[in-house]
Amino acid sequence: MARKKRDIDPAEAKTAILEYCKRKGALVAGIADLAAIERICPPGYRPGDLMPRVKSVISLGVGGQTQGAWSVPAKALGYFGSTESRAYTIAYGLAFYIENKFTTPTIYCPPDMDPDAGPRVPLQSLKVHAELAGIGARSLAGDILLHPEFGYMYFASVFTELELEPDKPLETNPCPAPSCVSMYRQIGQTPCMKFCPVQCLTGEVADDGTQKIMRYDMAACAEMTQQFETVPAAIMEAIKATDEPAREDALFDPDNKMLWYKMSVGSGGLLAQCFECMRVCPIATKAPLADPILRAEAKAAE
Amino acid sequence: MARGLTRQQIGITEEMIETFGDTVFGMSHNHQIREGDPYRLLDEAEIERQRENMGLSDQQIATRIGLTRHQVLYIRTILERRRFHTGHFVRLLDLGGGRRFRTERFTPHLDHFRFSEDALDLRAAMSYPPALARIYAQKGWWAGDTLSLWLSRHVVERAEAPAIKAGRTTLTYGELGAKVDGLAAGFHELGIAYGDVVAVQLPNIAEFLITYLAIARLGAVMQTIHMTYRAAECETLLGHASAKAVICLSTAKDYAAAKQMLGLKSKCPKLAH
Repeated sequence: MARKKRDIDPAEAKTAILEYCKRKGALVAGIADLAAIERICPPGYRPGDLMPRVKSVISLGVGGQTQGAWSVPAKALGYFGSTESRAYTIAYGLAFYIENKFTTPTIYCPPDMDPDAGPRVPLQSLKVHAELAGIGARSLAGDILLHPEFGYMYFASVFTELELEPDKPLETNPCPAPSCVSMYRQIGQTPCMKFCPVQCLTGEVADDGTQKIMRYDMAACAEMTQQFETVPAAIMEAIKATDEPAREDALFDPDNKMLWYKMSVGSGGLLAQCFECMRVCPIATKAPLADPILRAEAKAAE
Repeated sequence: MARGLTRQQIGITEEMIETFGDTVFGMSHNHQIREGDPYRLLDEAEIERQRENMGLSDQQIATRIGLTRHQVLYIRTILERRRFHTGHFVRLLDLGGGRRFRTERFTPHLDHFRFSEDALDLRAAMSYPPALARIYAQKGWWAGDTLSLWLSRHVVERAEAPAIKAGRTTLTYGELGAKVDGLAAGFHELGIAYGDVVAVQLPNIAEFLITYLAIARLGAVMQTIHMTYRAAECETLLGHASAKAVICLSTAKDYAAAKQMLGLKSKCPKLAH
């Protein structure tokens, strides 16, 4: 039996969708230009490759951790610094909401790796979706997206066959912040470049204070953020070990034993995340609505 | 495996990894360079121009260099693994709470623990019966104290108390501490550092203890030489220990110790002072 589609006002649908996102805890949401995404992203990684009849890409962002977290030692920040699961929960619910309310096929875009491309390659670029939806702009910190009001966020995407009016990218890029430009002029580095523990960031600021070049050594960054590769490396060391103590160390010394515990708990955040570039970023830490305290203060002032 | 295919089935050899590895890794997203803000500005011509600098997909790399996508995937993944340093996350362990990473102050963790082969051999040669060590530790007799800390504690807590009685001379802990610090500073000025060997040929006088404690202050190593030993024995011992300095009397009866030791400098290359 053919499904009966009711008439849907795209503008009303867009409003309802964006309000749903905010109601469920997103700080901001927008619609990315599908045609632009399809031109920018390489074949195999376009929304149409996941959902052939997609018409719109919705991107939403949730806030990072609390203000208090920035004073926590670096070794612990990874445990509660990542709030991406909140973004995914909202997006998951949004997909169901759209199908319930607008009876239109919709999918939650998985943030996961492409099983056919090995690790370090996602199925889709949530970053491109968010950038084109106007809810973030690339920074000198390895292209982490920053928002002038909300600082850094975690993003999630939803693909739908609903036709929605796309938003535009941000008009200006908040990065580099004036203090970062000032620091760059003095020492040739912005804070994120200077304080990265593996020095994965270099770049240049143009004379007009905008980004000239961003260089990101993702492989070096992964050595801090992605302990996942340490797991098979530990097993390989154990196999190659020539004696029992060496084998024991490879599997059970304090550093490596932690890996098994982290894997057992099953949270990716435990095996990843270094926050040092964001810890020293004035946008991430001091944007007007960057954390719950600032947002509460702004609301009280209204 | 990739897609359930082994490297042989995909057509990957170690020679291929060696030949194409750097190229694939360099063209991949493992190194990204972006000029300006073309994505936000939707400058698609510029995005396309910079596509290679921002990292190509495996298929795009394969098209460029004439391999299959799965060959590129395999090579890239293997290279990522081989280049991955597993211990870098330890750099986070000392950061936070106001402490930031500083390149100029950073010493790789491993470099804090580089010992010479001789030091490692010495460590391996010093063994204690585990049962005895356990008793000493439980009784508090092995509490992690050092000679230097022991002296410092006495200097603070009982500066006026006698530390050394030698004939008619008495040195208090305070005086002893001052002499030890002075000698240690002198050693330091000469470039004597942690792990260096300082030979000592002295009789049972206060200076023997002062010298020993000054050497311990720096974390250097004391080599004792019998008062009866002369040039031949001293040459062997100083050479064997790679002693950097020697402390001795100027003369003792008919033994011109200082002159002898100075004469050994040409025969013991490491002997500087």
